[in-house]
Amino acid sequence: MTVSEGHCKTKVSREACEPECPQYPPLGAGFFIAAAARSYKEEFMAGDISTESSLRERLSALAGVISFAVIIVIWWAAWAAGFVDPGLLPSPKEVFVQFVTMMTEKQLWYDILLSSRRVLIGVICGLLIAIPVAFLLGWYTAVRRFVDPVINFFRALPPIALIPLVIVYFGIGEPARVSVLIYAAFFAGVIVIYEGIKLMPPIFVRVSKALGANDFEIFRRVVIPATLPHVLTAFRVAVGVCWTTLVAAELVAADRGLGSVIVNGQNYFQVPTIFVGIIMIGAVALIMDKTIRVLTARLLSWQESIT
Amino acid sequence: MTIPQNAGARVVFDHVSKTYTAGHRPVKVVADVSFSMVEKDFVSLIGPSGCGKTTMLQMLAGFVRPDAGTVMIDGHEVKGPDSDRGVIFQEYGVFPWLTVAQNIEFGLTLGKNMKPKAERSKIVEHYIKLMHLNGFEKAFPKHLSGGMRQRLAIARAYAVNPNILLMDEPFGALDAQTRLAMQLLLMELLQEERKTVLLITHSVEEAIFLSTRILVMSARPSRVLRVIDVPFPYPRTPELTATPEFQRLRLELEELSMQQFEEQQKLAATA
Repeated sequence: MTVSEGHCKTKVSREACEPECPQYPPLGAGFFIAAAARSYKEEFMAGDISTESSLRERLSALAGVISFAVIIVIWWAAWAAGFVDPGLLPSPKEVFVQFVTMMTEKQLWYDILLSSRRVLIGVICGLLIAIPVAFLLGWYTAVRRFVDPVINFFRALPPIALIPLVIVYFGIGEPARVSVLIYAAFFAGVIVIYEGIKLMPPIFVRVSKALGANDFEIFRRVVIPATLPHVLTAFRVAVGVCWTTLVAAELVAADRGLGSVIVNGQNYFQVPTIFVGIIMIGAVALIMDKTIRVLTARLLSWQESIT
Repeated sequence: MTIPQNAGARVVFDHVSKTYTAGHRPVKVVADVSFSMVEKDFVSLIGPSGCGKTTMLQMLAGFVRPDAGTVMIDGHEVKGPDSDRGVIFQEYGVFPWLTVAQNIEFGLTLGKNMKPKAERSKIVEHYIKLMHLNGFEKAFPKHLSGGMRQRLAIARAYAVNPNILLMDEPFGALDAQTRLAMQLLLMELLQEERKTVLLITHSVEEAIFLSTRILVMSARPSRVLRVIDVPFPYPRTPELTATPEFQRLRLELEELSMQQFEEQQKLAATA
């Protein structure tokens, strides 16, 4: 068999080449690796990842708009067909008109702002306490043994159940509402972050120690970035829990806020007002969730994902 | 080369034993092991899986303390992990949130081995080139293949200039092709920047091809069964693996490790 030089060069496998053309000088590791790297780099650089993902984003945004449009159409159809007493089910148009009126005349924007602010304060304060506590729990087995049962006890209590007690202690002012939210955010967040820390591959800690890192450096440079995905998940979960709790708290005791908008609607039997309140809560929660997801995608662009 | 190199250290295992508690039963994994490594030594440990090879490596790395005996480097007892010993794992352990360049730089940004920015980028550039990672400086590890991740892990370990390189099945997760390329690359790297190396491997061929000495470990608890000096001079090329001397040594070692594998199986069956 005659062996051409081209044959030897195109074959990457050394073994395959060896018995046939021993007269060639030995190939170094550089040859194999350079060949592999070339094809890999082409793949890496060529994949038009950015345009593809932006197209996918636009598609999913469109899908979201369509699904809301469908709901509104069904709502409108139910109203137009007269299945439901028009006094109980307003039309989409009525609700929209009511929304505009409330925005311009009743400072609905202030209720939205107030509720959002309460949620954000609750979430941020709750998580600021939850992060160090979760790290302590994940890091020190002794702390975990003592604190774990207590945390699970309090976590099982719905924050709403504490509202009466909080009213007794703090009255019905802002501190009462915010403290319930901090409580809710803390217990929702602490468990997610703590489980995330437990999932961190121990190899990261060992590698950093072998590179000369001390405990503080390991915490700041390795544990925090490695658990950031879980902190962001905790943020998302906490926002959800806090909205639920907030509305409950505002239903019980508040003069302003989206919860009280709903209560007022009920008191004056203004069904469109109730609808506006409910839709606003959903919309603001959706916007917050989307914001966190965009933030997450930015911060975690390094993460491997299945999509 | 402007970057100063540490060329190795002397390692002594002096009557080292280690017992783990599995459930309620103590399991002796390392039993009275003694051996030493000279500077620039390349020692491979082969033996059945679960025989305590990794425990020995981890004792030298400082992750695990021996129950009895001492592990010493240049006459000092190993008390914990430090940057004089680079560790390479099968699972790479590269930080996914850092780019390739940032990963290599990591050890040099820690208080202990802090280097000024200009020197850091010089070192990073040097190992990027040596480990054939050119063009990927700003890529995250998710864009790298297994072989590239392991090259990155080696570059990161080398960047802090350790005396000793500890490798636990470093190429075990790679396909045969990449594995061969990695062995050749490691050979080239050690040719340029020699260290004392302790390698754990399942591949007899890899052990012969790379090391100056091979320690054949027994089934659990680990004892040093045989010490084999590998007679081939450095640098070694793939042609070596085709020589009759290489094949004879390979057969001899494979027979020996097969016996130990069967021993270990019996042990597992009675446990």
